[in-house]
Amino acid sequence: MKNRFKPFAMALVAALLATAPLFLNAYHVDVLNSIGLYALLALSLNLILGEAGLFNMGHAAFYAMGAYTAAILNTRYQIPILWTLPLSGLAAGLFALAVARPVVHLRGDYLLIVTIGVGEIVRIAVTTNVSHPSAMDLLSGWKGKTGYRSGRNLGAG
Amino acid sequence: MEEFFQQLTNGLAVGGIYALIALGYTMVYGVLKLINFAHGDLFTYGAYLGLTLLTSLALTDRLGFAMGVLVLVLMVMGLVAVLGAILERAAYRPLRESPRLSAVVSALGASIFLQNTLMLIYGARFQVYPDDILPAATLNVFGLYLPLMRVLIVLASVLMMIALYLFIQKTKIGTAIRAAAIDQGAARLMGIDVNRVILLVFLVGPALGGVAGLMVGLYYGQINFTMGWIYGMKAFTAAILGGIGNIPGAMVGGLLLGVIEALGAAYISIAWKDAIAFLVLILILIVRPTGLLGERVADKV
Repeated sequence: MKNRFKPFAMALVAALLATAPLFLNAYHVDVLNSIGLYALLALSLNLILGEAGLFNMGHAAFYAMGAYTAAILNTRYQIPILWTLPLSGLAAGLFALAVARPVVHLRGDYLLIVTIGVGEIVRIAVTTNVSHPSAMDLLSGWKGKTGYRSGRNLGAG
Repeated sequence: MEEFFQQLTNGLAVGGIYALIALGYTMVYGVLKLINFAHGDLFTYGAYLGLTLLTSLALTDRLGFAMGVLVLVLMVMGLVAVLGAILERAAYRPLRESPRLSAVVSALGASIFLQNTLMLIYGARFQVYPDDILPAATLNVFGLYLPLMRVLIVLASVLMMIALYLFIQKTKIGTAIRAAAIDQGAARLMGIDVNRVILLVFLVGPALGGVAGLMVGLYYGQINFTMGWIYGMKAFTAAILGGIGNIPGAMVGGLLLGVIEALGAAYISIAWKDAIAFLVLILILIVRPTGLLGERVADKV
């Protein structure tokens, strides 16, 4: 009995979420956004840690990779934010591929410590003003990237 | 050339600090196969307790510089050792039989707990060691100007490492620790109280880590409640560099990492100092998973 209603219930929830901005105020939509974001992040980590059983402690590095890709593409190259969605996923995936190739053979604590190292390197890279002129103003140091969250860039194109 | 030697001695001092922390990691890992993520925070506790004791007891005024610092070191060692034992009792012993991931998560939780406790007690700002208590002397060795503190740190850390090495290799208790690290079950059958060995490891490791924290405070002059994480990670890198579970390896790895980092900061980029250390870690694990001296083979599939 329960299973028959499940698709309908899910469709109802999806429809409610899709139309949420119509009847919820901006603050509540923002909270819902955060919920979705963390759920997606947890799902992605679950894929590695839960399903594959790999101790990955550097997940924030991939998260950062996506965020910075979106921010740089949007603020520097005026690519609409919706287009940056697949691109940032692709960038993070490629980065993960490059990282995973050499280290995926390590297991347990060794993988854990290497992924922490990768995470730290990425953190240092994005919070340090890289002294190469070409890379410098792309990653603008501690200040982080702002400006792309405002709605004006959303879907404009 | 002079700059090179300056950086080399600086690297040795920092490396001595890393090595002292790395000993705590490697001993715990050897016996329990657990990365004690809270170890870095015990190191921070050493720095903060040292600051409090130094300023509130005025030890250097009462006993003179050498005696005062010695008493300070012993007090910090004792207090941080007690903290380490409490940590083991509260966070790790209840999880002794549970899966590995639970213990690792417990260690991370303990680390966050300890960090935030420090923040609540001392505040989030940087704390500064008083600079007038300790003599700011510099030694002139063959034209090299070495701060007295740097020389003392290198000497003290090497001395402590030798003492630990002799303790582990020559005494009966040290033999018990080595036995428990090789095979806990067999050690138990031979009549070794493994619980006491683990307790001992959690007394000695944090004591050394606490002294390292005190050294950082005396050497750099300022401390922060979050500094334990990055020092801890680097010390763990040092432990892996030398071969985890291997006590001389942690010493060599620590000194080596300190020198690599100091030279990297001087000749490549100071901002990337930490990244260089982690890059070394990744390269070592890919190229030579046993570490330089090699004890335990990294599981490869």
